[in-house]
Amino acid sequence: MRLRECARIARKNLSANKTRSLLSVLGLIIGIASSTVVAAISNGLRLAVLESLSSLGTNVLTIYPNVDPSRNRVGVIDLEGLARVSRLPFVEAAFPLLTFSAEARGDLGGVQVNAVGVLPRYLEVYRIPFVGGRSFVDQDVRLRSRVCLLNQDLARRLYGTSDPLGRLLRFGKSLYTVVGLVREPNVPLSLGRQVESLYIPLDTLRRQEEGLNTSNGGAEVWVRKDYAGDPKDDILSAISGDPSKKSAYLIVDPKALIDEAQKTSRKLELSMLALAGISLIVGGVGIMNVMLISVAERTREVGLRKAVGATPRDILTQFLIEVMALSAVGGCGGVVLGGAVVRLAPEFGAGDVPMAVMPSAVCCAVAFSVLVGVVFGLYPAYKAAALSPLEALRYD
Amino acid sequence: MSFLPADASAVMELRDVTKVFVAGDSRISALDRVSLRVERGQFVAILGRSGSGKSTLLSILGCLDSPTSGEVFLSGIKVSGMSESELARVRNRRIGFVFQNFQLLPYYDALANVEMPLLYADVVDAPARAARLLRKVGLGDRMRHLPSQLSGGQRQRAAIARALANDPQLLLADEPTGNLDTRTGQEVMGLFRELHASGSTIVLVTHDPQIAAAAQRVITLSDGAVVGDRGALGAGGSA
Repeated sequence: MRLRECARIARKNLSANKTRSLLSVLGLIIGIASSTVVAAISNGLRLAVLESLSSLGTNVLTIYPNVDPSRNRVGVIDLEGLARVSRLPFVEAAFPLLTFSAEARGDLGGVQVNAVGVLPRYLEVYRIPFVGGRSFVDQDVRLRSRVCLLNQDLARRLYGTSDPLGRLLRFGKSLYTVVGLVREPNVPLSLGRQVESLYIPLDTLRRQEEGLNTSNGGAEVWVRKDYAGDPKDDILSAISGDPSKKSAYLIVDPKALIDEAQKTSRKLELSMLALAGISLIVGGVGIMNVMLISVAERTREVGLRKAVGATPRDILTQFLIEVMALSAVGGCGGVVLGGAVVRLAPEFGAGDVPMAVMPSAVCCAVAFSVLVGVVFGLYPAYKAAALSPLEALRYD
Repeated sequence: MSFLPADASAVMELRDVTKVFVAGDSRISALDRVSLRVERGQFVAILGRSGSGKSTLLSILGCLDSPTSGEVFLSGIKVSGMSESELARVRNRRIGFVFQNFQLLPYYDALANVEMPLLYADVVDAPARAARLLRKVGLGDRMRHLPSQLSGGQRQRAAIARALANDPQLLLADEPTGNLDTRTGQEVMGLFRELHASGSTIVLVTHDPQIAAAAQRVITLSDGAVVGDRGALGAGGSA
C-alpha cells in the first residue's frame, strides 16, 4: 500500500514540476550521454581491432634488415636465410617483399603503379575479395607465367568499361595477361598494409625485372594462426644462421602492434571514463541541490504527512523513490541523447570514428543513474525525514 | 509524580505536564504543571488568548510534541517517552487532526487527501473507505475536486473526513473556524456537534468564547496554566 502511495506521490510531483524536474536532472543527462558516447567509441575501436585481427588469415610478421648506424648502410635480406625460415615447422610461407614501380599501360592509357610480387595464397591470407577471373595457381609459379591480377579501380582507368580479363597489360618491360580482378577488402583498420593495384606472381616479377635477386624491402613470414608460442626468436635464428648476427634484423609483429595500440587506447578510455564520471558527480550534485529546495518547499507537506502517521522511514522512502524515478528517467534520456550523437556523428564529419552502442552499456547507464540519484538524494531525503512535525506544520 | 495507575477510560490524561521552550538565553514556559483528563465521549473546548499555551497543549495532546517534564497517557498507554516512529503510529491510528488552514495537499484531489492516513495504515480498500467518509461529511459529489476547486467550508469538511479516516479515539481541532466566515463556521461547528452526538471525543482549541460555548466542557488557559474548567460531568473547579 505504502509503495503505491510513494509511487503516486513521485508521479504527481514530477509531473507537477516538469521544468524543475528536467533542470534537476540535466547534469545527469549530460553525464550519461557523454559516458554513452565514450563507451560507444571504445567499444567500436575494440570491435574494429578484433575485425582487423580476424581478417588476417594467418599471423603475418615482417622482417626488416636492421639499419646499421655505424656503417650507414641499409642491409639486405639474405634469401638463403629466408629459405631456412620457410622450413620452420610453424611457418606457412616466407618470401621477400618485392615491389616494383613502373608504368602500367592498358587500352586507355598508362598509370604509374606499384606492382607487388605475391604467392598464390596472398589473396587468401589478406582476405582480398575476388571480383572476377581466377587467382594465381602453382603452375603460374612453376612456369613463371606472365599473368597478373588487377584492382578494379586500376582496371577502370586502363580499360574503361570493357572487360579486362584476358587482355594484355604492359608493365615495365614486359607484357602480362590479366587473369583476375580484385577489389579492396573491407577492413576498418588496414594495419599499415597498403592495398596495391597490381599483383604479379613473385617469381615472375623477379625474373622479369632483373637485378632483383635480393629483396628491396623486407620479407614477409606467415606464421600459422594456431601457433601459440613467440616465433620471433626462432625466425631470427633461422634467418641469420649465426646467433651473433641476430641484431641485423628487425621483426615487426602486427599482433604486438595491436597490443600496444590497445594499451594506449585503454589508457585513453580510462581518462575519458574518468571525465565522464566527474560529469556524473556534477549531475548528482545538481540533483541534490534541487532536491534540497524541493524538500524546503514541501516542509508543510512533510509535516502534514507526519501528523497523519508517516514515520521518518516513510518520508525517507518517499523522497528516495522520487529521486530514483527522476534519475532513472534522466538516465534513459541521457542514453537516448548519447545514442543520437553516435547516430548523427557521421553527418558531422566524425564518421571514421568507429562507435557501437551495446545493450549492456545501456542497462549499466540507467542503473548507474539510479545509483547516483540515490547517493545524492540521500541527504535531502534524510533532512526531510528528520523534520519535526510540529515545526514543519508551522513552516511558512 | 503520581502513583495512581493510568485510567483506561480516560482517552487522554496529562499529569504535571510542563513545556519549556528555550530561545537563545531566555526560557519560555509555555505550559506550567498542567494536569487534566479528557473522558471518552466528551466535547472539550480549550479557551485562551494567544500566548496562553493552548496551541502547545494541543500539540502535546496530539502527540506532535513531547513535554519537558510530566507524563502523557493515551487510553492508559504512556506516550510521553515514545520514539518518533511510535508516535507516528499513534497519531495515525488514534488521533485525527483538523487545522485552521485545512492543510490539504494542493495537488491531490479530495479523495486522495482523505486516503492518505488510510494508506499509511496499510488499509486495503482505502479508496472505498475514503469515499464513504467524504459522503458522510456531505462531499460525495466533490470527491475528485482539487482543494482549489472547493470552498473554505468544503475544504474544512474534507479535512474533517481525513481526520476521521482511521476511526480515531480523539479528534483534535486547532481553531477550525478561524479561516471561515461566520456562517460557514457555524456549519462546521454543526458537523462537530453531530460527530460528538454519535460518540466522538473532541478537543477543540479556540480564542473565541462563542465557539467554545458550543462545546460541552470548556477549559480556560492563561499563561500556561489551567484557570477554569466548566461543564465537565462531575468535575470540580470553575472559573
